[in-house]
Amino acid sequence: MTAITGWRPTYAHLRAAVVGLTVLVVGVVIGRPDAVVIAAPLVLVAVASARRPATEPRAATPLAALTVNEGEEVTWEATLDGLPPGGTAVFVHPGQKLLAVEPAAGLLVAEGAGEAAPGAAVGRIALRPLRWGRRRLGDPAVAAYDGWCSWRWGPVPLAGMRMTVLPMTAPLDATAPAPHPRGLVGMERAARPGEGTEFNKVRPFGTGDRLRRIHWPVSARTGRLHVTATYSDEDTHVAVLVDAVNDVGESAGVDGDQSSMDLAVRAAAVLAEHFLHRGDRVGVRVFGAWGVSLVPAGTGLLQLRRILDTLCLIEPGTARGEDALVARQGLGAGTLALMLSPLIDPAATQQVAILNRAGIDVVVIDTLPPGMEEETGTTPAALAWRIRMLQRRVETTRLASLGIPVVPWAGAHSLDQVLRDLTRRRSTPRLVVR
Amino acid sequence: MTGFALEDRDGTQLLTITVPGIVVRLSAVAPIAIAVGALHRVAPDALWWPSVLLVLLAVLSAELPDSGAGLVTLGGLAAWWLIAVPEPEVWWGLLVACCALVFHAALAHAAAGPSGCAPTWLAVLRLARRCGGVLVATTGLAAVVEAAAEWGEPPMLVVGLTLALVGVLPWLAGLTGTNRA
Repeated sequence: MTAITGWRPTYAHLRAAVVGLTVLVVGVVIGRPDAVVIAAPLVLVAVASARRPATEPRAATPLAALTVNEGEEVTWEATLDGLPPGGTAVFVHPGQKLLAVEPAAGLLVAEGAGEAAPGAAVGRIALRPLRWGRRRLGDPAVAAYDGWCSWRWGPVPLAGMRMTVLPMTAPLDATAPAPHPRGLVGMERAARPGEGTEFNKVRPFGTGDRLRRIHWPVSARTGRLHVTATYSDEDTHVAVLVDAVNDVGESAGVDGDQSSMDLAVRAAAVLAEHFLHRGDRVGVRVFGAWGVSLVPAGTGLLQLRRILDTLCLIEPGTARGEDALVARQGLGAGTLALMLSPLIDPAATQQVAILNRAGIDVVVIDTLPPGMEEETGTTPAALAWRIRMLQRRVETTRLASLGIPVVPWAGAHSLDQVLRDLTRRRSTPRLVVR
Repeated sequence: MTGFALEDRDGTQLLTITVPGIVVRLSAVAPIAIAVGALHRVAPDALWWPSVLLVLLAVLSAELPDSGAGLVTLGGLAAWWLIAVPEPEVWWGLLVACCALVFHAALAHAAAGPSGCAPTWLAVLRLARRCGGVLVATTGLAAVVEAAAEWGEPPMLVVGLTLALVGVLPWLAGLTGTNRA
């Protein structure tokens, strides 16, 4: 948009002056007082706004970049100084796909309204991003008018805002423990005894035992000191693997239909938040998106923010043909791998198989949006899709036969039972490739 | 939510229907319809098609507020009044003047910002107060004109007022030029 600075007369000014004066003169000349009355308000308006405003407006907006959550409403604000007395200012923020703007068609604010100083106007427009991602919003524009809208200054474009929209995280209150805790600190009950909170057994006192662990009733009954032994508390390495090779389905924002990538990113955010709150180490690996590949495992709220920042940068399908073996890098046996994938690309299934053979507990979370499997068209594309869906069904059945659970993502509780099953299964001997 | 917006897949707004947009359009079309109705009340024998044309022009003006359509509509209304009404009718003329002012103000505000731009209540209140002031002055002028006509003095007083008003404009224009320089 080209900035038009300086006050310029509008069509309203032309209309009032031309029609008013012409009708006035004609009425006088032909002796029609009613024509003078008809012309009078227009002439008065033309006279009232005959002078070009002498002020020089200045527009400013304080926000340049902002980080918000999906569906969160934020206010874009701009100030226009130097309005003529009784003038108005117009603030317009352009809309964008999956960005709700309110009011969408702009806001007309009177000079000195609200907490604005005399000669200034403050425009506030509500913005609500409906989908995760990083985006640059369109350039907003402001314009100034005098009291009768006879003179216009602008419109002047302002710098558009850079907005980082973090994926929505819903509370996950799953109680199932993560399998294979193998760390130093955490909330998971380890297989070995040690300092912790969960009861193991009462055993005779040994060197190094703490005095507060002494179990006095048993000690008194047996005549020997006994202590309460516990299992140690440890953390688990959770790897969230996001398949970003394809984005299937239509994304209608946080309140509407979700594409496979929406489901995957939001599920990854929920899972990361859940396991990080439990004290586990969580890392993220993304396949198929250029520039985003790995967040090393870590703990704490900072790690959650790091993961969310990474997830919102995903642009699906921008890096195809990655080596399937990459999936195994940095993941050791005992890691809990949560693969979020619509299982459209055969490479995802291949990666799951590689991880499983390496002794890593893999849970495949199916992020294909509901209803996508039912394709009834007769076009070649519809037939191809149906064939792929049949192949996909065969692949998921094979994964299930290998003991790899495939769970459709249906919210935060999808994994509860699966994690319990994995924990129960960890005592079973397994043959893995090293 | 102040309205309904129809967007394409890229988020470009194809159609925006807002409450302020509807009110502004009605405020532009209704006064012309009322003025035309008043004209036919005063001059029952007047032709209909120019009046229908004026209403259509008002609709066009409401859709294109930042254009010359409003000027054509307003000029056409005044001309049609002068042609169709044979005798001066000051009080009916006052009604038409009110309609012309509302039409003008509605179009001027519709042209400020995109179609359907939502004004704050203070902006609407100030506009209404300003229009009220102008209408009070116009009513006073109509009373003076009516009284002068009853006194049998041809419009000399009106001529004087007219000349005074017209004379003010170049003076103001000169002031504006001085300020800019």
